Amino acid sequence: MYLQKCTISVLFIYNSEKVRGDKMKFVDNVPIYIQIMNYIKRKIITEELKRGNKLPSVRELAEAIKVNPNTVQRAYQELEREGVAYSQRGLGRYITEDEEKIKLLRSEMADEIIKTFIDGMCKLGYSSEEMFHILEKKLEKGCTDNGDNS
Amino acid sequence: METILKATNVTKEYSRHRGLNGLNIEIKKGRIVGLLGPNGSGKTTFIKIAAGILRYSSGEVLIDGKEPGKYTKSIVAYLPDTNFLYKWMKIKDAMKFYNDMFDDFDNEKCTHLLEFMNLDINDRVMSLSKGMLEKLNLSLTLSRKAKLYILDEPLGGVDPTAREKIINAIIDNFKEDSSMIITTHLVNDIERLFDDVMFISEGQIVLEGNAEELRISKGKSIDELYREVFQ
Amino acid sequence: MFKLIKYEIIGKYKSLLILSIITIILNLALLSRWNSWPHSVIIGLSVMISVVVAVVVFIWCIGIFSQDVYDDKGYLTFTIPQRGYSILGSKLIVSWIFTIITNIVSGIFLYGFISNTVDISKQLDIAGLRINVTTCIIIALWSIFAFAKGLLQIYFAITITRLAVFKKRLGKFIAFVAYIIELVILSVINWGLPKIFPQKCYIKMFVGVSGSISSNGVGKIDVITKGLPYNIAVSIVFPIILVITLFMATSYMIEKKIDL
Repeated sequence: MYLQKCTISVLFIYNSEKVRGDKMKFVDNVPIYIQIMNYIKRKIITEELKRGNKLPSVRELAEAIKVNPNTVQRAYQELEREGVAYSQRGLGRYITEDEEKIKLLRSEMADEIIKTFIDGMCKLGYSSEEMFHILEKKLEKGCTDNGDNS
Repeated sequence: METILKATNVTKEYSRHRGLNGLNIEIKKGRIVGLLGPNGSGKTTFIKIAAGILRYSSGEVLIDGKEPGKYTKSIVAYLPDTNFLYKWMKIKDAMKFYNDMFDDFDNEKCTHLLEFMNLDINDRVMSLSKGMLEKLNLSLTLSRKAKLYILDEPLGGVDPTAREKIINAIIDNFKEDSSMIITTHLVNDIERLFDDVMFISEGQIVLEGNAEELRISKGKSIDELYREVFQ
Repeated sequence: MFKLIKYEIIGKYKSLLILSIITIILNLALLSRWNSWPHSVIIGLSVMISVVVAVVVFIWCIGIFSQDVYDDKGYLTFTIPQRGYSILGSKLIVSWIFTIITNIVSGIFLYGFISNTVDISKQLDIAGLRINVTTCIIIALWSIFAFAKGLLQIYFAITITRLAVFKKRLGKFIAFVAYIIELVILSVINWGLPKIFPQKCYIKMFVGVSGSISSNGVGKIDVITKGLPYNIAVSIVFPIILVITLFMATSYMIEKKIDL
């Protein structure tokens, strides 16, 4: 349930990003540090933040998204703990150079989105075949059209 | 973590009612705390006590271990809800005043902040709009290197662009060894700044905790929680 | 304290300047009538001007204190790390400065008008008297002291009312009542003290009494030869105690007891 909310929030942010550009939108009930982490992870996957890039300082990011610096700090620390980022004393925080790690991140996030999709569609009563069929149809249009449901 | 402010069982009696009724608050170093409550809940009363311009009837308030007085006034930077600058002042007079009266005032920082807020130091204080006045007052307050900042409704009556600047200035000013108490009822704009929140009603704390943890446990934003608590 | 004084002055110096200029202009107007109007009228008008100016300045002096106690101005004054006696002292000193300046401005004209009408030194020479310089100095110092006493009585009344009464408008009215009560109490004390402490001292106004003064009774010569009698308790000891007490009490109250 909790992870579902995270993924929904990812979808939310993902959608909003497409519509609004680069503004980060927050969701109410998910811890902000997790939302920040997901935001950064997504940017890494889409290569807006390339591996080895320096992450903005805690203060810079805090000001950019109007969040308590302690919260940003916590997000960064968690990212470090997960191996997504690492810090160099005196120089700052950097995104991991590990390509495998990034690929893993991408597939983890994709898994989450797919899982949510399947769960949601199951609840609506769709069978596996129906789901497959719909996906096929929608995917004919490619990536760009499918985000305009909001 | 050290405590910068500790209020124990504080009451404030007025002739017809109690402003504060057994209030217990503890603020730790380096935390930004939101003190949330409707008008009349006691938040301004508590703020004024901490600033040293109001006495409490019973209980104890210790700031850095001392009762409110000359020492605490030198380490507490208070931003009142009203126009408090002397009416004859220009912005540069206000800066000089702060510089003279407070040892911890940083002139350079203030100049920098005023530029950021697009304020001209030769303007008269009386000629400023509400939003500009709020930005000025905040700049003066944040330019002090205080141990405890108390901001009473820093966003009240201010347009959204000014609000953004104010929030940015607050974040930029964040120091690990200073704490901040912010009172507001515009929770939505500012809730992501809070480390901890305290809900005050009828002179008592009715709910408090770490902002993130409250979001998780209650499953809603602080703004929604506020509406729920005070509906 | 000096910083407080500096800012009080910066806040009011323009008004003071305007007031002084008005005084000068009015007196110059009188001067232009020197040869057309009777001198006594001119002196009388000049005195009136100086009285009005003195009243205005005195109201300002009360104002610089009551504004801090009643208006939003107090938020700034009472959140800076200053002691009560420092705040109070700065108000008193600034009041002195303003009063002395306006008195000098009015006084110069008044002295000019009077000395050109009546030659005072000549009259004194005729009587064979010289003004006692020490006495003049004592009088000058004493009037500074008395000014502080008068102002402190008002400040005290304002402060003590502010502690008791919360509403601002009502508070100002009650402060006035409190002041009257205070005056009554002090008058009673002043009346009662000589009964307990009848000792007197004499301030000599003049020196060098020659024998050509005629008298109608013993009293008058006594006044001139011996000096004006003052009851020590009432005129010296009590006022000093009063001023010290009022100052300390008011300082304590504004520092520790005030609720804004």
